[in-house]
Amino acid sequence: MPTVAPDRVDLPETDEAHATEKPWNVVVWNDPVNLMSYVVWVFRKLFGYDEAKATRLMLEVHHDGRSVVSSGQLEKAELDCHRLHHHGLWATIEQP
Amino acid sequence: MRRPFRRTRDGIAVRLDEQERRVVRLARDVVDGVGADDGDPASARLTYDARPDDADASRQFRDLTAADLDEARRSDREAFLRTVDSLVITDDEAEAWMRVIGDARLALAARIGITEDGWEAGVGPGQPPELLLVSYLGGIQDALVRVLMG
Repeated sequence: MPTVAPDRVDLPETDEAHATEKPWNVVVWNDPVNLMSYVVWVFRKLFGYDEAKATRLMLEVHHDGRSVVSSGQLEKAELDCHRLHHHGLWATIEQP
Repeated sequence: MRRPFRRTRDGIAVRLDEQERRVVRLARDVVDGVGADDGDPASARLTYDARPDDADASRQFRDLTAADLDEARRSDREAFLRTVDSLVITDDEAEAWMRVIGDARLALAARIGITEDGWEAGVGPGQPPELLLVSYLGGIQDALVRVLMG
């Protein structure tokens, strides 16, 4: 399991056309069963993140118990959440 | 240990012997059995609440997505069963394997009460067979991740 030290902080992406709308966050919660390597693969596959970003988010889930993995309009957040559920990840939606 | 999956020109080559395939095939029996018994903890683990803070929104989300989730899982299981004896599988089929195996691991872990990190340390003789299966299927899943990422 490669570990990557985060050297920068990415802000959640927002859909610019709806920048005035408060974005919804998709949160993934830690669970003791899903493999770290699998979680990294899911983040890369579903969101197109590079390995460093996907690994950073996975480690955040693992160490902090949760991580915001995507952000945007409600419809996009719902779709992302649904796709995470299909991959067995415990995901919720919230508006900060 | 040899690599059970290897990328070739024709797709992903699967190198599992009959005994290994019999164990891998158990994943489908596990996911098929989820919810068959009342109060099956596996059922709760595989039923998601996207909006735990808002009961109305939570119900709306479920109404919106439950049928799609059922259909996606059904399709994964069909692909898994159709290809579990194949010598070569596609990336899409490998992804279906990964989700079926992943859900089976979550279901088994819920039934034997795995709730904390660090359970891997307890894997060994004298442990519930479900624990050994969660661990074995984890090795298969990890190998699938490696071949799909590589």
